[in-house]
Amino acid sequence: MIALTGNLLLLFALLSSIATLFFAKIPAINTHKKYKFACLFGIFQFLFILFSYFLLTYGFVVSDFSLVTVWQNSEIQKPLIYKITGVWGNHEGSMLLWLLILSICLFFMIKYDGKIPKRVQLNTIAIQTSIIFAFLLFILFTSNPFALQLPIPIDGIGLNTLLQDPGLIIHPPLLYIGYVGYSVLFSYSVAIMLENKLTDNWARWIEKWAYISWIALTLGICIGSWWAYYELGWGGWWFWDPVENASLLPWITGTALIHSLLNYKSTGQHRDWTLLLSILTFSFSLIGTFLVRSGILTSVHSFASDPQRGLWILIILSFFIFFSLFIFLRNLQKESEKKDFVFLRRGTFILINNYLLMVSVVVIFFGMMYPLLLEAITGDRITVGPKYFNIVIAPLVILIAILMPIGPNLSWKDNWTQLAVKRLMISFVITIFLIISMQLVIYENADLFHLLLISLAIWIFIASIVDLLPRNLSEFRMEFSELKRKNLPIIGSRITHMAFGIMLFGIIYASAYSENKDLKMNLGDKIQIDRFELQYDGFGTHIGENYDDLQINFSLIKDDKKIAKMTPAKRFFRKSGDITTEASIQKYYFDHMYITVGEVQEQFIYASVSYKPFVRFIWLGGFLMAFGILFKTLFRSKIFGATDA
Amino acid sequence: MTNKAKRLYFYTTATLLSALAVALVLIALDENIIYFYSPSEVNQSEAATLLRVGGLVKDGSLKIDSDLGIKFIIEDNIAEVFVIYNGILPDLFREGQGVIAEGKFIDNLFIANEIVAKHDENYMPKEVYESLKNK
Repeated sequence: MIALTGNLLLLFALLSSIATLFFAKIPAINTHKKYKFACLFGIFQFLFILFSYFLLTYGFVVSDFSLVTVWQNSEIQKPLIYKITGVWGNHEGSMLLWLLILSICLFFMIKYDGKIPKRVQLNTIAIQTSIIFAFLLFILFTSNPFALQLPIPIDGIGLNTLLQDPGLIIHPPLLYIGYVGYSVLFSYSVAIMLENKLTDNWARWIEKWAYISWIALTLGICIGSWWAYYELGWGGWWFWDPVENASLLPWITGTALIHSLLNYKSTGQHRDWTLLLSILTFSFSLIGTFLVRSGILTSVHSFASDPQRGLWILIILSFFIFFSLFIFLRNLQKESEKKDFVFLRRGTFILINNYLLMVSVVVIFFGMMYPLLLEAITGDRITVGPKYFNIVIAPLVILIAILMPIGPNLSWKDNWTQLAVKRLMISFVITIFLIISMQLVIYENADLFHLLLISLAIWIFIASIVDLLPRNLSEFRMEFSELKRKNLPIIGSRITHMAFGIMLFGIIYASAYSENKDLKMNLGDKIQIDRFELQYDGFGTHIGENYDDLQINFSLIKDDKKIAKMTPAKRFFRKSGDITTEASIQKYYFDHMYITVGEVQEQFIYASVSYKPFVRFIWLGGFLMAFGILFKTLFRSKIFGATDA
Repeated sequence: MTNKAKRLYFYTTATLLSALAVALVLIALDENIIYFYSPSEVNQSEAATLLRVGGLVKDGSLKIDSDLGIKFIIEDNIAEVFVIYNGILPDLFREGQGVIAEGKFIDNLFIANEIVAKHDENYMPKEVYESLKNK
């Protein structure tokens, strides 16, 4: 029953999308009428897809094993929360979620169209609908979540045990909101290019989508990184895995886009580049999906892969990328270069920012695709090690970090001012002071290279704060409301820059000064790690909802006092017999003590113990970055052309 | 300086930096690519190079020793490679299933520093699947 209804709903959604496209493009009737009908069927698409999504969720909740997808990825005993979120724990369901978010975006486009000219709006809706149409076909033909099987099995196979984790609840939806949110920017940008002579303030319409998608993508990546950190049990936060890279690429181009939009909004320069960036960002989202779904790159994240699906996504991907690039090239505007070339203004630094970010994209993308390239040419099978990425990214990050605080201090139009220099000098002096005092008081043995990197992180942090100080006396005297209007969006930007400094600090510190010991421990053994001692006290058991834990007990000791009990575990899932390793993580200020246990024998265990100073700064910084942009989104300055950044 | 000259400097710098980036990429790539072999392809005398060996974990070959660590055999129906690993095995490591080990050969023993894990237990590493397919 569910299978039939589900298929019908998807079919209705498909028909609605055809109707939307028909009404958007039919020449016979006037724009107003066209618009009304296109919107109506747009809403229908959204509703049908929403219902089909709810229906699938219902199928999971009541364990309807006549659905192949439910049978393969669920079981009666599974906790309710993983039945609901398990919908996106498999290929078919996650593609339906992808589709649902596409249609939610369409819904918001229609609902909150603002002051956008109807012709542009109509094109935007048509483009978004054609993306929905393509993915509907993809789902119906290659990954139907409502595929039926008879006879109905008594119980399901169960969800992959590694996915039964709170990470599954929020990581995929956030990542998808990020990926798919960029489809809106894509649709708007192509529509804007179609209306070539558009001089309206389109940057303002797409700005909020650029922010929202970026926030979701940032949070999605952070949570994914945190999930891999504690669940995969390797204690690393970033592996340069192809799938991680696939999410990083749209993030980087999305970051470049935010900056380029600010520049366009304030100076009217680099219109085409800004539009190209929004096309690129969504293209990278599609490429990411393609790479994950086709399984052509070896990754820890691979779902069950199927070359046929890969081919479909490749077709969708090529179509939308080439279509948009064609329109882009056709409507490319000659930018007038009559204006004086002023080097030390904010626009130049945004250009440099974009340049450095795009170089990062190219080198990461190249490292990611090189194994495919080489295999196609020579037949050699290789992996590009994480070291490659560290080596090529490090100099770029260093350049970005040096320049990052300078741009925001400069004016959009004129050359630099005494004030900007003064403020940067203040930040510089404070940074030097902090790094020297840190060196004297806390850590005496830092090497020069890492010290330099740490100073850069502090430099970004300090300069962002200094930049928020009132610029002159008149700002002190301003009315509060006026000050608020002027400064709130700026505060958001500075929080994000500051947070990047925090994250960078965490990354450098934890990479450089972590201590790791892999060792065998007998009962009662004590080991020394950093300023702590760790003692192995034996094991116990813990009964969970659908698993049993074998807990290994450790005491964390500092200055001969036990400060915490740590219990990493081996988790046995009753139904599948799978065993997973559960790490134990103990916070100590901003540091982590991290333990996982390998083999557990009668007399001894294998344990991997790490102490990671300031590792929490990485996620703290990441979340704060997203918060800063959220703040900015909520308090955007309402004036076009105002110097807000 | 004229506008034209300023612009020229600006773009020349950008081009030079790009060239530098390309050079860096090539150097970094040269030093950090890791070749993959199946047990029958691998040349065990190729000492001290980091490489990946992938195949199936031989049934009954897994031994956990109290001193030397974890020992097992990777096979591909033609040849076998003895692996020693001193660390924590990934959760989905099983006898009879696909595995990729990264490490170096020392005296015909493969000393692994990493065993590549997968999220999906049904998933066979692509390289392993392809190298087994032809045997």
